[in-house]
Amino acid sequence: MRALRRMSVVFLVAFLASACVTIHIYFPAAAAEEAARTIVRDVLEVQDPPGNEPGAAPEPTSRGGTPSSILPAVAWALDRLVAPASAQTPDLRVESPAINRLRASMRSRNAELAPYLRSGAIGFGRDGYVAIRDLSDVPLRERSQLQRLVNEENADRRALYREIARANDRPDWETNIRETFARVWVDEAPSGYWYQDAGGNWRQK
Amino acid sequence: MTSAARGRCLRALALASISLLATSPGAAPAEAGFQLDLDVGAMVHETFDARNLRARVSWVGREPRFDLQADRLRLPDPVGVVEDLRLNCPRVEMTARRLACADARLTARGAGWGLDAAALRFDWDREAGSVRFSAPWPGLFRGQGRVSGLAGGGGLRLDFDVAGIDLSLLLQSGLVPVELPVSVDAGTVGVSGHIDTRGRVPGAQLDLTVAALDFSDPAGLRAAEDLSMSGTLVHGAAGYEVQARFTEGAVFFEPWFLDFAEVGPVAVSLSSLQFIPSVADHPGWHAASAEVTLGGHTRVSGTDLRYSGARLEQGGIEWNARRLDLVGTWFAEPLLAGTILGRTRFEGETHGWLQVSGGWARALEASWQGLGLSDGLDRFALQGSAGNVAWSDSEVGPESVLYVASGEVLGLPVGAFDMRFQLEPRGFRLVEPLFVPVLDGGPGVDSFHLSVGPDGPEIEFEGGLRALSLELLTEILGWPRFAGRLAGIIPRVFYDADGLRVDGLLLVRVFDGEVVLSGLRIRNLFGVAPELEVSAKVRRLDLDLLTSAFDLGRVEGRLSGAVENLLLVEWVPERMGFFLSTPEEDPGRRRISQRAVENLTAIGGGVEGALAAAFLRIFDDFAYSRLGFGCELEGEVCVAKGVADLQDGSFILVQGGGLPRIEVIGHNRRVDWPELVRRLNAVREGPAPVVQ
Repeated sequence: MRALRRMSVVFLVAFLASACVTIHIYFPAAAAEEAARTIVRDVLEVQDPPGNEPGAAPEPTSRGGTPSSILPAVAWALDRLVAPASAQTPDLRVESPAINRLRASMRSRNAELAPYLRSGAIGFGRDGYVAIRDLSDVPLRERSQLQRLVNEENADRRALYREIARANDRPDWETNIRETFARVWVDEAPSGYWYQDAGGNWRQK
Repeated sequence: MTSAARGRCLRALALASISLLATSPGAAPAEAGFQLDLDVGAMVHETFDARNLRARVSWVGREPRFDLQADRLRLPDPVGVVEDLRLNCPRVEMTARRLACADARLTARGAGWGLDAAALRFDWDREAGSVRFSAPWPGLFRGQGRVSGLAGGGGLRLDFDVAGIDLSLLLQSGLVPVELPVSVDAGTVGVSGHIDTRGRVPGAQLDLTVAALDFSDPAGLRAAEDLSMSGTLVHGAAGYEVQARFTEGAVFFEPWFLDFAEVGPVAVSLSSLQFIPSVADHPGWHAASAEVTLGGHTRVSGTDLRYSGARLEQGGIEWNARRLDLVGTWFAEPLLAGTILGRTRFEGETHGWLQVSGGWARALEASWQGLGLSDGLDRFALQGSAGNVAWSDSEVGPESVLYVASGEVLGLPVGAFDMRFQLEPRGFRLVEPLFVPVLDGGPGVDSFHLSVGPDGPEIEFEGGLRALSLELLTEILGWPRFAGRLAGIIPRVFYDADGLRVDGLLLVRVFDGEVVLSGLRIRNLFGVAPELEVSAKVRRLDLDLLTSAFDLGRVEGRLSGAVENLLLVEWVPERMGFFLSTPEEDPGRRRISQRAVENLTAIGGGVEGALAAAFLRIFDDFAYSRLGFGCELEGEVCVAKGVADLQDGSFILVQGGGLPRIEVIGHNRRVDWPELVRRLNAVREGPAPVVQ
């Protein structure tokens, strides 16, 4: 019986110790989403809704942590064992000369792209880029120009995702940033714009 | 099985299912005659299958009549199944050898088409086993023309000359045995020629004329409007001979748009074209030769081309383009959109060849003359380039040369130079030192070798920067103009995803002092926001020369310091930290003129002419013990500092020495950088203050 109790204690300590080191912030998803929203609204010239100013406390993401709803006692223990600094929300830097110029470049192109996004000739792809949807209603002569616009827009978007990752000294975040933007482009798209859902099907907002 | 054997087979099947009824005269009471009905349940042959075939020969008066019906007739593709076939011949010429009809009528129905009493003339030579026939085009698909043919000898020869066929209707009928990736909305085709299946190899020669063709795929990525073309298609033992000439209309094939009214006629030809088994659903073909000519100025030809698995597997390609300006606009620009070459304009001419084998390029030779290009954004341009290049994947190529008559990089003029090099299978080697004149100096490369190995590219580099005039450089860059020379040795250059990094020191001899540049890194040189990072050590600049150059008012003395992490974005400082001050060792004679003090005051936002009213106006200049200015720039805010801080938070920019003693004190540590630069320029460009 004593051995069993000792084993339980050892197990609990080992469990708590191992649980303590499993909380890491890999990607500041909430901060990235907020930053993406700011940039996307700026590019699409969407007005900020009242009371929705950026700055809300983002949440850290974790991997391997135990859901507190399942084991509230463990969560309580973890709350006290994990140093506050390691659970703080990391910031995401979205200001750099290159990022600012890319934003300006995309913003200036938005007026040219908007009619085609509204007509459904192009749409927001699920991969964070602009995709050709249906050019049938676009005059033949315009299609090449539209294709050029889309390629230039996607080059800017590719550079934007890379630059944000680079500005934060985390080139490995580029994919996460692109995926975050992919969601936000669709979220912030004005009514009538076309976008690809998670299954790759085209839908109109 | 021989044709005779097949014929026997056919007869055996036919006889097995024929019931013969002979009706005595009297079926038509009004006239004398008789009627013979043949009812064949099924007639099967390897080329057709007829069901419920009924034939009637009737003699009414002196003119025999022939009627043939079949409920269902299956013919080889593309005709396929024909239903409700009726052939009526009111007057049959009938001899022991021949059965002919000059005014037959044919009614039939197939998938997507139908004939309603279409005129037909035929002549069946029973001894020869052949049928000749001719008919006006029965109006199918709105076409007009004539068709004739000869069936027999184990095959069919069909001659036709039909115009105005509605392509949309034709394709809807299913008679075209090709599944097109596009839908045709409008357009007509005229076709003349013949098809002959009697020989060992079926032969065909078709002359085609297509007019007003509109087509599109579902997404509109491949489409045409009002397209006109003419061409020929010949099929023989060696495959297909194809010639096509596009003369009017416009096409869009992502990402290219061509309006033939602008481009000029485009001709395409393929010789001995044969289709080969598809790979991974990609159709394959082989052609002995192919050629595309564009508007009489561009020709691309190929020999022994094999296309399989969505790539060119083998072949030799030659090109000769005499109007790169047009080819660049029509073909290169759409293809390069979104890259740094996306808006590049080309000019000149080029020719060369490329050898492909096993799906990979194996050898290439190209030459060009009068080549010019400009990126359209004033970032780079070159003119009057000529040269040739040779590459092979198996050995080091012969010497290649690139000559450039002139050029421009980020506003800096580049003079004539030529580069002699060799291309290796996976590398590049400079054969002799290269010097690129920029202004009166420029970068030089003594040796350069790039090789791409399994661990990535390796670069051996030795070069430098031959002294160039800062006076010209600063003028072109729009900076305050000053004299000096920029030179350096570049031991190594690195290039990776993070840009170009120069390992080594660049020495700038300027204002009788030195500026040593280090940690030079260039990113996005031709991108949306080119960045240059550099740090510098400044040694003993002569302030007299410096202030004269900037026209700031005379200051004597020396200036030393450092610039850390200077980041220029589009040549505008975005971030840096610097502090420049009077050196402690051998500071030399230190005097500052009244005008310089006035200008410093103006730059700092003080009251102009502050000294004019004071007694100090009687002095032309003043002694100082030290001066200095530093700035931590981030964005547009510069946090300034001087040679000493005061208790009230202000800082000393110029500390006086001797009598009369004058000090310049800054009170605002957070300086608006653009405003500071604007004031600096205003002082330089404004009239010199009057000292009374």
